[in-house]
Amino acid sequence: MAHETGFPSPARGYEEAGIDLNRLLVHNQPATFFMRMKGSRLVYRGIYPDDLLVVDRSRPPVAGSLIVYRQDEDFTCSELVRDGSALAFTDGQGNIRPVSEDTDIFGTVSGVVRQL
Amino acid sequence: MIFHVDANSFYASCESLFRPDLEGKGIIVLSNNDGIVIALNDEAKKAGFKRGDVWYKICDDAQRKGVVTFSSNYTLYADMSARLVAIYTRLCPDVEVYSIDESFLYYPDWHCPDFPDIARHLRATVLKETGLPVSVGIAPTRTLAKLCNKMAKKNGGVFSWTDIATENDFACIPAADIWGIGWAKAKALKRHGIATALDLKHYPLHLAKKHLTVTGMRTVQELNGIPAIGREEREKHKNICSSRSFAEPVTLLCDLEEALSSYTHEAVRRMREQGSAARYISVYLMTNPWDDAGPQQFTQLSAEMEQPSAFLPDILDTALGLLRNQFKEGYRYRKVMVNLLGLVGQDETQPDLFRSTDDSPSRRALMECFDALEKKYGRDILHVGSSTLLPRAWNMKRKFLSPAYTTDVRALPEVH
Repeated sequence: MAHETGFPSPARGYEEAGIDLNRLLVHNQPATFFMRMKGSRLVYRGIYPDDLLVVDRSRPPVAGSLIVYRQDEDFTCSELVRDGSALAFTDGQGNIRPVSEDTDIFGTVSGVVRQL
Repeated sequence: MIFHVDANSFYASCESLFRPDLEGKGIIVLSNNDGIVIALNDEAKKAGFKRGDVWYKICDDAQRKGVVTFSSNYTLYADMSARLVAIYTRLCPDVEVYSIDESFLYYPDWHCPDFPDIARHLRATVLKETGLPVSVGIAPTRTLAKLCNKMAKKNGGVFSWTDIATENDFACIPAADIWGIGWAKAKALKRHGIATALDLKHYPLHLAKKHLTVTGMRTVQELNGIPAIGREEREKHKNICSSRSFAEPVTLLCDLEEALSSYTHEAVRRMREQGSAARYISVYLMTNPWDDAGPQQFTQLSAEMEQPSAFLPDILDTALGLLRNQFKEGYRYRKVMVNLLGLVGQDETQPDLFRSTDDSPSRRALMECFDALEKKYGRDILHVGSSTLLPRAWNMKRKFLSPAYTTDVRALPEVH
């Protein structure tokens, strides 16, 4: 236990809470899920295998955002782009796949956490 | 106005959310010890399964039909439930959490609001943010709101009491479906000529009070749109019990002691959370009446603590002593249970004039340190003496347990 003795701190009244990574990364807690990136398909966007993805189900998908969705039997993640007036997924190498009404979207990646 | 909101096939929905490979497949969730079906999705219902089906009887059929089985993953369900409640709290000023997947939402009686529209928005928000489908019943009383929710499930997920076109809609609902009327009361009602919700709605109040007690009378009032059933804060428990049935019969005293230590630890934790201390400890020990292979035993022993105690080592000592005095060699035990009784507030205990109290501040400090460590590092971080860290034969059977996707960083869903 640390007891304060002697001179009162000149910083009294100026204290602030420390930086909280939760506040930085999680904006809507009930809608935020963490997922683990496997594979290198998003290295072109700076996301590496085993990175922790912060996925927000409430964040509206816009062009340029990274969308987590169901493809066949897995979750996968691709960048959303505009293809004329429609939306499509790209793989970062010019290949485009259209987004259909049936695409089962899980959420948008709102942050990435990497421990070294 | 009151919304009754509940999640559709809650446990099954939680499981399928993180399994993109199970899209379109039937899912069933089993009770403690993988005994019976307690939740299932629409696809599993269509395949002919229902709540209450005994697992070992249907497992072959389930496998044949491609239905996937899960053990109850309470850690996951509790986390998802907390998310639901957080969203309700954001969208409604007054939320009453009724169970893990049901809540009542109280809206003030604004003039000409469009409650069904508010309910549709709530439903859409919950589905988007958590992936869980919920349905909403809208009425001025909780009993009616619950009834409307039953109707909502077949009517697009939202149903208001104003949608009840004629009184005859009530005639299609059996009395047993009404909140507070179980099958026993329904049988009694049948003797008085009441079979449907319509009958109950029109039942004269003085007769309801006579034949159904005052609670039944309040149900009739609520069916008629008059709020009558009060909301009670869940009171502090007057006794706390902890036990599980063993997956396999247990014959060794050391195994029973390990199990009892674990249950006692849990009960004391819950007791300390509500700020109580226990005056009496009871330990129950029982064999399985359906296991004809051996002699049967159903015993119970109790002890009074010198002073109401919240000190785990003392309570555990007492409990283990009670167990040893009941244990018999050669018996195949199915369950041991500990019960903490005569709970009083920790601050209410009067110090004994003749007992030396100079060790009690340090005992308090020890327990507080224990609580703080558990809170910071998790429940299994510390054990007293005879409890164990390793899974044992007596542990609950949960063969089909899914990962704790939202609470364990080692169990995160993967993105490929």
